[in-house]
Parts: sequence; structure tokens; C-alpha cells
Amino acid sequence: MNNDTLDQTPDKNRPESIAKLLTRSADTLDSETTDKLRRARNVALSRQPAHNSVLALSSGNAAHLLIPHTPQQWFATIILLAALLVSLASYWHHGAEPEVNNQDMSHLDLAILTDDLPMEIFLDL
Amino acid sequence: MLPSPQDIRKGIKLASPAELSHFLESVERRAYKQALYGARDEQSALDIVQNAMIKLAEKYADKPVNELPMLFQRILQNTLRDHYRRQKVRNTWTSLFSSFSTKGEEEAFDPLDILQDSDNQSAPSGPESSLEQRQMIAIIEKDLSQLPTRQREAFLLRYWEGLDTTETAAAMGCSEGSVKTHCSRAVHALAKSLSAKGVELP
Repeated sequence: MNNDTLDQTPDKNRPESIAKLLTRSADTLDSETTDKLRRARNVALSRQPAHNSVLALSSGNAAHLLIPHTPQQWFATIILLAALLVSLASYWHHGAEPEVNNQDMSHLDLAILTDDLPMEIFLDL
Repeated sequence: MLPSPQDIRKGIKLASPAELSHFLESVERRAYKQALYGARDEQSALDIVQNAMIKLAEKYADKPVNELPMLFQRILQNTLRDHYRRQKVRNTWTSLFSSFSTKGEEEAFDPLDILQDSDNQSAPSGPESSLEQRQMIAIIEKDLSQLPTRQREAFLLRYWEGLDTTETAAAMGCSEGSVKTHCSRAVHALAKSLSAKGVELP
């Protein structure tokens, strides 16, 4: 842009005047947008927890904190439960294996206690 | 959330559902505009405002009425910041897969747009003042969207929402010093850009 305009004092375009125009622009939103905003507000208000019940319940009963409220929380809870089930199932499924290992270990323990260890074990050290 | 014993003792009035509704109604348009300047997309702006309103209604609905404006501003700024972050990640991924799409987006905010506007501004100098005002608003809004994010946030909170420096700093999560810096840079940049286009506000 030319130099003359840069020399002009910016006093004319004060932030207050800009803010006034912005307010005007916000006040003259088209009806489609205001409708959408009203719908958004109604969605938000419907999510507001009931006033009295919150005050009555939260006096010491923390059980409502444990119950999932949003779809994401439900999803996370289901994932957690599924993971717990899988891990428990695999634990029971492979439950027999540790016994085999225990037998091996007790065999070794016996060998250590009775000084019957083969020479190779000492050589490895 | 329960009101603290001090709140009850002081007799601070907590927001009723009707008051919350009234409050949201009073701020929703400005919040939408704020989100629009940042997100530059109407649908995203609506989503951001709705998310901020839902967060306020779900978590802070039973706060005192006089705390609602600050809380809402803070929530709105955080929601906007989340949006920028997600957009940045999305842009990184899309630019990894196709370089064409991001190029197109960048070109959408080309300086050529402003040039066209300044021509429009100088040509119809005479006609109705409402048209002139609408054009001025369009220029200002475009300039605002092109400011750096933090400068725009500081400017809007400080001068449009009328928060003081301390409140703006709290809403933006930064120091008062940087609020002042962002504000003065934003004011300067806007004034310079407007006077360069020959715009003089009433």
C-alpha cells in the first residue's frame, strides 16, 4: 500500500469502534444461524443436571460418580470389562501350566539342596 | 457440584435453569462470532459453541450467576484451542497423504481477497450507509480472522467482551503482560490494515 496511508494516525479506528461494529454484526445474524444456535442451546440445557436431585444426592452418596453418563464413558467401561474377561479367561485357560513349572522348579530346588547339581551349571557362571 | 459453605453463608444466588438459559441466550451470538473468526467455518463454529454450552450446563450449571460469564469465556477459549489442535493434527495427516488439498485451503485465505474488497470499498462510496457499514464489518471480520490466534483472542476478550486484563489473562491461561502485548499488537495490526485500505470507522 502507499506511504500516505501508513502515516495516518490509527486513532480513527479505535478498538472501541471496531467492537461496536462487531456487536452490530453479531446482532444481525441471519435467522438460519440463530435457529441453529437456539437448537444448540436447547441441547445444552437438556444436559443440565436436575437442580434439586443433585443437591440432595451429593450429600455423601458417591455412587452416581461410578455410573457412566456419556456414550464415551459407556464405551470405555465396556472395553474395560471385556479386557478383564479376556484376561481372566486366559488365566483360567493356562492355569495348568504353572503347575508344570512348579514341578520343574521343585526338582531344581531338590537338586540344589542335595548338592546334586550337574557341573555345567557352574561352568555357565 | 455443591456450592461451598462460604457461598451459602454469603447468600450468593446460584443460577437456576431459567437463568442459565437466559445467560446462554445472551452470549450465544457473540460466542458464535468469536468461534467463527477463529475456526473460519460456520459448522465448526456452531459445534464449538454447542460444546462450550454443553460443558457449562453439565459441569457448572449450579455456580453463582455472576461467575457464569467468566466460566463460559474460559470454556469457550479452551474448546477453541482444542479445535485448533485437532485441525493441526488433521492438516498434518492430510498433507502427508495429499499435498493438493492443503494447498487449496491455504489459497482460500489469499491476500487477493483483501485487494478485491478494498476495490469494492472505494467504488461505491456514495450509497446507503447500511451497505457501507456491512462492507466495513466484512473487512474488519476478515482482518480479525487473519490475526494470529492469540492476538485475536486477546483483542476480542479485552475490547469486545469487555474483560479487564486480569480476567483476560485468566480466560486465556497466560500472564497479564502477554495479554497487554497481544492486545497492543492486535490493535496496531488492525488499525494499520484498516487505514491501509482507507477505512475510517465512525
